[in-house]
Amino acid sequence: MAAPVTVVFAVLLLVLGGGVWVGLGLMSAGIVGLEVFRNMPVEKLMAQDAWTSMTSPELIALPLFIFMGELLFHTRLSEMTFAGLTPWTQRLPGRLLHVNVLGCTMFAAASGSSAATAATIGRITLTELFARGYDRSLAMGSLAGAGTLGLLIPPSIIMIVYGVLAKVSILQLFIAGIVPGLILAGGFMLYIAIAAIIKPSVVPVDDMRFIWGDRFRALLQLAPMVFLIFLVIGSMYGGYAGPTEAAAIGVLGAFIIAALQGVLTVRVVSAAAMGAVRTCAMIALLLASALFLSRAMAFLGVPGAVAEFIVGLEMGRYGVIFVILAFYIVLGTVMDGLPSIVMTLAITLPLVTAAGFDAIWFGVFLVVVVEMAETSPPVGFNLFIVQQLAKATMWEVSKAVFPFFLIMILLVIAMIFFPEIVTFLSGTAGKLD
Amino acid sequence: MTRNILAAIDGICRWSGYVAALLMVLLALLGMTEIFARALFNTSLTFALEYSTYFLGLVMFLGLGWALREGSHIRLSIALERTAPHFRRLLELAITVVGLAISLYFSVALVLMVIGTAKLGTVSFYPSRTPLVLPQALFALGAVTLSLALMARLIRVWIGEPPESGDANERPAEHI
Repeated sequence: MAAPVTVVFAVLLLVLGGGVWVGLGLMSAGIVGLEVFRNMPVEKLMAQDAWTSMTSPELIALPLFIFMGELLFHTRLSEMTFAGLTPWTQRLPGRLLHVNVLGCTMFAAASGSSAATAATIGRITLTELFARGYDRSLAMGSLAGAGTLGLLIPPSIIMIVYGVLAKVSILQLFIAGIVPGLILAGGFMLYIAIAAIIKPSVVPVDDMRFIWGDRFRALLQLAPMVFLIFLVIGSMYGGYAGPTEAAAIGVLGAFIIAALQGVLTVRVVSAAAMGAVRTCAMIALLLASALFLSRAMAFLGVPGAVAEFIVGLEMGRYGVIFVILAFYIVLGTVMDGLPSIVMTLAITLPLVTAAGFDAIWFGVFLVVVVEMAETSPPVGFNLFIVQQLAKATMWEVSKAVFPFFLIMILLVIAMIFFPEIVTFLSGTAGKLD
Repeated sequence: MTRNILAAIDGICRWSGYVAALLMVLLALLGMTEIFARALFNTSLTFALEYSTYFLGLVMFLGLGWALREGSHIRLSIALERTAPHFRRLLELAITVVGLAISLYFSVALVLMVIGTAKLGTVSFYPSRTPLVLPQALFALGAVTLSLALMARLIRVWIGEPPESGDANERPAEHI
């Protein structure tokens, strides 16, 4: 048993560490392991696996949600969200600083990507906040932190990938992400409010006056976003639609919004479709190879061997999950969330379920851990986006996001000791899937 | 000669990507049609689900080669960044050769599957009895474009040209 484990890990380390594309590297480990240690038609298994997994109906939601996000990226939703939220934050300590969190939370409910959420909301809010004299650090940190809500609040591309890899219901994952996502958003807002109370200079002198008429007119600006969220999440939570139908409705909604804003041109639609195709190709290579590798590992008995080894260490239920948490935090400093999940799930999922954790719960746990990876230096992608938008240094942004990073850790620890945060909604959601 | 080969490969990969983009729009339209058919006429279109799954496979795979050229595929660049400029080209060559070998294995595996399907005349289990060789051949083509793109990349690294025409990091909407 030890030889296949050693060979697979050695190939992975060498090929991935050397800089070969992650998808191809994962394939090579599976190919080498099976060709050397098992007498079987590897190429047949590989081809059939790729075809079956890439044409499985539950995956249809993936390209559609990506396409929807790309379309929305080309609309003026960010301007409208900013204008719509501004009058409503005047009474909160920290005022406009909350627009980042609220805007990202709303956009997250229409987009499945953390980077797209941060970039879409941030291109308006950062300029406005800086120009009005808000604290730079809080503005940048809250954007980088809240942008990651795109991963946790449904729809979520990474949850679809996890659902396919872990063979669990994507709909249940989506529903399970809602409460942790809202808790995280609430935590971010609470932190901003406390920071503003302790140090009032982070907020400039109040120069804006709004009457209730302004507030209700502002709601009109938020209407397209609310409409879209209602279509996508409402249809899934109400049990009227599975993720695929919700995604198709979402694309339709994005088309309607683009049309109403007069940006629905052939140029925009083709740019969105081409961007979405590149993202899909990137994910397809990762997903097809990860599924093949996990099959190969199962044939080689790797997960069992690793699980046995870990069980032999007698760490207990919480020991296992904290070791995995630490492992992913370290991994998150050198690589993005998506490849790190795809590379490791074949090992970590059997471990965690053996320790008595639920696979849906672990999916949400991993998403929050990935959010931390997106905001941890030196390669966190959200840091990179904020750095570019704010024309700041990596160090400034990393420092700014750190309190928000800590709030995510608090959420993860709360999820470990109170798993109900994740599971109570998904247990009652619509059964359609 | 080299120019022509590079241009031809780029063209194949790009057009394959364009077809994927077109299928993406069709996939969305099929999804909406299915919903309206069910809501208004209470019928489910079996061909819509069947063709959606083929379109899905093609949307996912036909852009594989193009995505390489555009710098979308993920790899860890730590080793490359730490390598002295002089050796960096050698390392890039090695990476591309290894990548090409793996990709060729995968492409050949898929082409063999298509040949097998063609010989057996396998049809889908849906009422349409669609010959599976059609969608599978296009699916395999997607993997072939990745091998072609890696060959072009090998040539570009060899002659010292920038191997990628774009950087996915500059396109936040395409990042997860």
